[in-house]
Amino acid sequence: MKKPFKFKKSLVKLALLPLILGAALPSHAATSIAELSACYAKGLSDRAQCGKISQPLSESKTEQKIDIHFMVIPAIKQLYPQEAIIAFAGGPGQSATEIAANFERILKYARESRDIILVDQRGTGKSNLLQCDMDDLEQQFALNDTLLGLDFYKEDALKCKENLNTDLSDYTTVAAAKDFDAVRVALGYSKLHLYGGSYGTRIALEYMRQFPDSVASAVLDGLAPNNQSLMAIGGAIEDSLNALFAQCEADKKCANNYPNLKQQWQRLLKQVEQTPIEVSVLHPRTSKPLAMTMTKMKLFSAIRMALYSHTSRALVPLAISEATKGNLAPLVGMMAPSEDGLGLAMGMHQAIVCGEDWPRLTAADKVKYSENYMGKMMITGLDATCPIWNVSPVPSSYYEPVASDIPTLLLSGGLDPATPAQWAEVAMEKLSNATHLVAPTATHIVAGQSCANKLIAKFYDEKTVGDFDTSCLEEDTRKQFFMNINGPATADKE
Amino acid sequence: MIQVDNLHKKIGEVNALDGLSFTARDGQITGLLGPNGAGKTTCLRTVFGLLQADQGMASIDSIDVAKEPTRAKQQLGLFPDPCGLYERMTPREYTQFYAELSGMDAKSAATATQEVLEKLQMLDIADRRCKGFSQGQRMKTALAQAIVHKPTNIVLDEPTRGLDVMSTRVLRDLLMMLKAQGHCVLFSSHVMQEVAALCDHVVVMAKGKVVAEGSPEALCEQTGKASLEEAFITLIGTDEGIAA
Amino acid sequence: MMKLISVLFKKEVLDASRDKRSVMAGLYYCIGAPILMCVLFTVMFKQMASPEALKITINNAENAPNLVQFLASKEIEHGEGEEVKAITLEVSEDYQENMMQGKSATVFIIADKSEQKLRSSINRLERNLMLYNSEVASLRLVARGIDPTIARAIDVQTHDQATPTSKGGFVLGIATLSIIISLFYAAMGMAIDSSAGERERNSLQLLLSHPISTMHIVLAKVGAIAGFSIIALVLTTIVSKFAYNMVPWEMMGFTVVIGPKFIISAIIIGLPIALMSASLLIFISFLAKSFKEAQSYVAMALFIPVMMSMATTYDIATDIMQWMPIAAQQNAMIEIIKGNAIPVPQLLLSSAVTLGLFAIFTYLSSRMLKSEKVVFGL
Repeated sequence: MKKPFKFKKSLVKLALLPLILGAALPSHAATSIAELSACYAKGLSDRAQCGKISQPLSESKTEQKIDIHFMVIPAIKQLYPQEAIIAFAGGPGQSATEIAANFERILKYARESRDIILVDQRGTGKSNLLQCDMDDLEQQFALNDTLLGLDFYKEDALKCKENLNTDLSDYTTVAAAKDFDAVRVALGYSKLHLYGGSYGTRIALEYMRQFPDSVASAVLDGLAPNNQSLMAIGGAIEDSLNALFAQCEADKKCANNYPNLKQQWQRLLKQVEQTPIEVSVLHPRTSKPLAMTMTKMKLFSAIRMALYSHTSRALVPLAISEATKGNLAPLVGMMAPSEDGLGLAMGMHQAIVCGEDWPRLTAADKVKYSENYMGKMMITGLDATCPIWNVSPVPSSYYEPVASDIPTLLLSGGLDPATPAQWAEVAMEKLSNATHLVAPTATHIVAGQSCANKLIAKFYDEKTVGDFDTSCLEEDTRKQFFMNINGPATADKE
Repeated sequence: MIQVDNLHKKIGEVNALDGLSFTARDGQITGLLGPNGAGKTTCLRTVFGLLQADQGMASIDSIDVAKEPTRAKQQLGLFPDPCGLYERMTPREYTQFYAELSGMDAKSAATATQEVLEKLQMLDIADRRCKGFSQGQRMKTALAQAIVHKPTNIVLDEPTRGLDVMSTRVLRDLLMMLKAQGHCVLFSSHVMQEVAALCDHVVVMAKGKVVAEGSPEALCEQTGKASLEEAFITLIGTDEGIAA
Repeated sequence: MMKLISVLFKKEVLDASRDKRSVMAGLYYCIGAPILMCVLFTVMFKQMASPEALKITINNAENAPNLVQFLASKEIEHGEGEEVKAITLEVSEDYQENMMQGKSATVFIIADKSEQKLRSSINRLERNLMLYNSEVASLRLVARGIDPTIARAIDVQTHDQATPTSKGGFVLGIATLSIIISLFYAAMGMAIDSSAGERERNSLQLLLSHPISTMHIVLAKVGAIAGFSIIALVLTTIVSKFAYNMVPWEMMGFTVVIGPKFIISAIIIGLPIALMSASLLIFISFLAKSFKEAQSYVAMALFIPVMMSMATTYDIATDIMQWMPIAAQQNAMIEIIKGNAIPVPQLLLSSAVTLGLFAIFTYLSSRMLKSEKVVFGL
């Protein structure tokens, strides 16, 4: 059986993560001075090569070293031995090597002629993972976050900070970019083609800024640029959810089956805000009865995470409708994957958010981004935890738009609940050789949808979109909503 | 000097050589005359060492061909029938190749080749490939090969076969010249006129044996006939296989 | 002695290299074989691979709009006209009803699975229907509050030891087959010409009448033929190197790369084979009574090395074959292209046997040239 689609899961602490997840989706030729050994990525049967290099922890702490681990997936037919594709993971906090199979699928066509390099960014995966303890499902379900308030977040951050016992200031995007180029040098490639998804676009842009001569071309998919605050994500979530409601409204079957879905949703939110629903549910895997306190945060986060892919969006109307009737089972099912913390390195995630996004927030920003529920919750959360993490803010020059004439392709999904198309326009401000394409019905990470994977391969070859027929990006990739517990089928034929 | 002593050779059921003995001396042209099938070619091939005699021996300058073939053959120049040219090589390449095979080093082989090509007046065709050569040109090329390494003994198997008048004259002059230089020249022929005109010594063969030998005059005398042709017919008892 | 061999060798090379017909035949093989092979592979791959946009016939599509949409997202769609594959997907009449009630809804795949050209397309359709199955099943479980991972009792992780190059095992077999065969066929015409041909044109007698041994003659001939064979091998590999770049191997998920390292290894491995092949060709040609006869004998004899090579290509009886001459050398070449370790003992043994055969054939040929029967074709 095929790996079930992965929900962009949720739950209280995770709920406050401003993103993002990049690819939560879905023979080595150059002369290498790094020692490589055969290895395998999860879900990918092809033999890859793995290695590590030792990097100074920071410019001021050169005596302290950090091992940066990487993987090379060999090209099918090596046509450009001096070039490779480097794929940057999202999150922040995803391990590129752990999601190698996703990258391999997204970059399937590009890999036909070039190797793919995956590097675990410092603080993720095998490169000194900065992880915090996660509550299990039982604890997560039972927790009533509205009663605990901010102390809950603070306590958690303190505990994790003590465990990690590391200065997170060494783990910002600026610091990490140098590791990627050191890997390139160690592997002996002269030029890299970049692929960044979600937060990966930010590290890709930083790499373009610091090492323009190492870059042949760049594809930035779902932009979260350095000059765009992640706190604005709340608006994207609202837009994406509203589009879902509109889609149901426009479809006669859905509108009949789930009348006034948006109003139902708002009523439900109001209801749990006043009194969280207390019920007994069965554990999604063990069937053990568990006490569930459905708070607004948990409800909103479960639906938010479902917005990331069309497969999980198909369940949203059913989940909302059932919840209003007191059946939380679909929501419980959606929450199940959150136990593993979405595969994010939480410490590293905080280093980026508290070092890059939080310090820059002005009072006006905070007001603006707090206009919606999720933005407000995030800012409240960061205001409480970032002082504890105590990450040195990145220099203000970091927020300058990246100026470059490197051939760059930007991709955005019209229904993306994380990185809306406007963010790509922000990123493009000083990219003189950039093309921005929007796939109207795509969600987060366009490369995994429609024909974008072919377009990317062509862009690496020709460094321009050229005569590629981009109309395939316009194809409607939305799926039919579940009309009952068994699927989209209904009794009334169209 | 080429000596053949009591040669016996059976080819299939036929006694091709049946106690053949004769001597070809230096400074003489010796003709081996006989009708077709008399064993002339078999005899010459035995002298070249290509065939092993069942009995008896052939020697060149008193070196037994069967026992020391390499040393014996170094004193021998060969004009085979048919010529055995390499069609894709030029006379110069061909001649030089055989000169080197006969033991000359590359430089002296080149010099010797140039000399012999001049001598045979074939510089005009020296660097053309042999393919398409006339019979005369082929003969000259084969002859150049036979004498390039200046052997004491030269053996020619039916050298005049298919030659036009001019070529025949050239050949005749050449043989006379070799004789004058003191070479031992042995050639086989079934053409009476040639033998009569050239030879100092004629060996008449039939059925693998020598039926008579001596100078053309002596043969006529012996048989009491006025011409060699008549003498020949008398000697072998038939005119079959003889060309006038 | 070396001097005589070298004089003879030079003559053989000069004579053979001017033999336009044989040179052309050799060149034709060296250039033609790899190119022809690549054309065939390209056509074959294009036929075997499922087209990116697969058009099939879908009946009752209106009963299963969600499924049809899913397939469309995988570029499998209902089509009309010529490019439609002979595959029909028929949705049952009660599909919607069963789907709604959580019963299995039936679809039919109607196609001829023996049709090679359709096989990958049928597999692709089946695979994607399975994907749809698991997608719907997962969502059904989630809707019931169950984590769909429980439906995946075991998580199978395959670690494929193959490299992109080694995946093309069969193709590598054919590629090396063509290289090995070049050692036998490219100089075949020359070998017959320089032996049976030399005898037929009467030049052999004259050669033998000279103060040289028959071993000299045979060694010079074998050397010249082997030299041409090696040139043919180099040419074949170089032409292959470029021709292979044109083949869309990536359609089949692998690649074949012929690099300088392989070419050098092939020459070293091929040298004993070239000597053996040349001595065999000469031996057989002298054994025959005429040029024509030599041609047919050679054709028959070459069947054996080709069979050895074929056995390796098709991976038959590998245990014994891997020690046999030619098969072992070809196997070593395949391992080199794959980037694996060379099977050294097998290679050494088979090379030794190959050289032994070369010695035997050479000796036999030189013995034969002393025989009146052979020289005069009696």
